[in-house]
Amino acid sequence: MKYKNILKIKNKKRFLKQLEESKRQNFESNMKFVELHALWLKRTSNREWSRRQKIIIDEVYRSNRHMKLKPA
Amino acid sequence: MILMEYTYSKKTITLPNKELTLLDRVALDFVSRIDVQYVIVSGYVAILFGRSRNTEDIDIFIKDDGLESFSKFYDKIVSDGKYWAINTIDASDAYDLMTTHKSSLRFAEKNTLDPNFEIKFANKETDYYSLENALTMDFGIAGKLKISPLEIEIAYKLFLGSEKDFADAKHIFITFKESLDMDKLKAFIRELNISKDTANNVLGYL
Repeated sequence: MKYKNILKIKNKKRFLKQLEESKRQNFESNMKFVELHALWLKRTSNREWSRRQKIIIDEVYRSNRHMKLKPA
Repeated sequence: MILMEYTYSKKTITLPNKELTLLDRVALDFVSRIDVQYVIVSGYVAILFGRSRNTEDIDIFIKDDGLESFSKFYDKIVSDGKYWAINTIDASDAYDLMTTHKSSLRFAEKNTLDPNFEIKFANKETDYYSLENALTMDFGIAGKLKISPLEIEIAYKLFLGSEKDFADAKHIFITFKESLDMDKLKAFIRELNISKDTANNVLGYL
């Protein structure tokens, strides 16, 4: 096998457990961010949160529009 | 202190002074061409209410009233050349795609791919409920959008189960916690067979 143990894993069981734990922590951290963001939103006027959201969203779509497809 | 202003009744939501994003403007323009019953569901609903993410597609359910009605719907969207159908050649082809193959039709502004409007025929109870009980998101003079009721939107996102879906569900839940019909939300969670653990882990104690 060409790439046998390419990651040089010493203890597969422990490694997979670490991966699962890291996945769980990542999920929890992302969920915590969503909660913090939603709570911030509720403490912020519509004018302010939507102004910030507009900057982020519009930038993405402006870039997309510069990359117009050519008909095949 | 809560500064986010909204009005939320059974049928209508308003967010006074919300600045419209390009995504909102394209959505309002697109739905102004739709004269069949429709409802916007999924990610864009969360984004509409401030969720910090982008999306490639805006999911829309419409009712299947047959090929003739569908052809009028299709032709009205593409007639002035502003939008194109990305994955079909004409209304008949699109109808076949959506009925025989149960797939979705995608429209976008001409020569672009996103944001695109992913159109599906309603075909299950959750779709019909959203269609029949759609909320109106009222942007005042800018226009109106029909969106899925928030309780079913949250429950369906919990059912879908990806991290992005959970985050959308959590965002809508926290943002509108004081106004949601909790009994209705619990009923949807029950009927979609979502475990109490999942609901509690994502939304916090229900």
